[in-house]
Amino acid sequence: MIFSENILICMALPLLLTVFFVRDSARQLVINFIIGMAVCLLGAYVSGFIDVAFGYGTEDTAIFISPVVEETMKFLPLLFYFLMFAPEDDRLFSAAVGVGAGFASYENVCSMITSGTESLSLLLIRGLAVGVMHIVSVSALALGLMIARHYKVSGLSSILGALSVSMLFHGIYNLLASEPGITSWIGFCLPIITALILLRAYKRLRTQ
Amino acid sequence: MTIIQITLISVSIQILVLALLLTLSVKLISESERNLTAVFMSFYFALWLLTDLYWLVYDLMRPDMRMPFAANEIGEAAMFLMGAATINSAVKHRTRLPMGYLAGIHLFAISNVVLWILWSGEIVQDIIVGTVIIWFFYSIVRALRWSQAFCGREWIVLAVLCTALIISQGLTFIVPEDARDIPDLCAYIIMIAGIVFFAYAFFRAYREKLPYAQLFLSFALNIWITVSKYMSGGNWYNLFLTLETIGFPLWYITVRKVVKSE
Repeated sequence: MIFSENILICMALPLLLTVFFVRDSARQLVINFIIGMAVCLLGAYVSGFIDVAFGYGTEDTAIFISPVVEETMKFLPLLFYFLMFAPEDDRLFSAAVGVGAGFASYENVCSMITSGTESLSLLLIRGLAVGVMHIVSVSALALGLMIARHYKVSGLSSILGALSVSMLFHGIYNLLASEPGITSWIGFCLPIITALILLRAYKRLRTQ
Repeated sequence: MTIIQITLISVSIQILVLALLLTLSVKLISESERNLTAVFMSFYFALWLLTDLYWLVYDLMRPDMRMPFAANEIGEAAMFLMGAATINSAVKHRTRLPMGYLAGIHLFAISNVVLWILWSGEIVQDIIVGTVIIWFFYSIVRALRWSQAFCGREWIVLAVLCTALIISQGLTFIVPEDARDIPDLCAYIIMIAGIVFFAYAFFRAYREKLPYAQLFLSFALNIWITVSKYMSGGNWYNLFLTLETIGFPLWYITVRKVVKSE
């Protein structure tokens, strides 16, 4: 058992202090990073509650329920920011990446403390895969919000569609990574390959 | 080769087809200056692709184990919601449907949900997907009416087909075990008849060069195949799965035609 609240406090305090020394986009990124870590902890509480209430079992909760809960938790601060402050697309995207990075970092730290830190190569691969996966899935959420704003009609469909895309992507990753061997390696590669494809598509769209 | 192996191969082929169509539809977004229908179609393909992929990965990793509530249930509901959004984005004048149509849509959709629950026992999931299916059916019927894809008599034929399908499926729960094959076979004949009916209407719209009617009929044809797939088992399931895969390029082609004409 780990005391995840203590880890959060230790990680968040220096970042909270940083907020007072940086400005503009740097401050926004740090704040979103902290929010990402906080929603990760809240997501773990919700998943834990579902595990106990519905008797899923720890493993099945982690594989099947966590993607749904975690993506919803990441989505809520983004939705709040989107509705309350109506940010520009670039700022919304930066906020999404900040939340995703904070979420992934905190999850990685907790995972490392639980499972040990002996194998650097495994830690690097897992860390990279989880980091990219959370950033890719949260980017899909930001994209859904942007589409909802630009086209105005069918906003609910685009938001729910984007949320489902990120849940499914996360779910497939969790499912693949749940068993050792070839499947987990495919799982680790999946977010990295997806991120490369998305980056290429994004660059192409920008040049057009 | 066993039935499940054929299903796995069919789903894998569907995933490849969807991946190709997703790439093409993303290209269509930039070609059409970010047309809304093209955006929604890309989302629709992406959701279908990921739902299929989730199912395939689960079935390969945990064969013979029933899937608990997972992300793909939500994905399936979102998929139909996105399908409805694709259709609605192409409809130019939205009108309210008369009561008869509304009653028909609700009856058919709710009957489907009841049958799913009786087969699977997954009450919550089936109700969630069923609610979205009602909206999807409503969007399709409204779009078909707007594009005048059917004449009055054809709407009656469609109502008869839907009623007959539900009755024959319902009878499989009532008749004795040894006589169950008869309503079951009737249901499959009606499903095939429905496919022929929609395919005929589609080719007629194609001959008459009606791009909107083609688009909505391609959606109607594929959703009929999907509903039939949900009602089937074994080799029939695989047949409808294959037909569904064949229907996907039809969606893309008809959406492309409409988007380009706009």
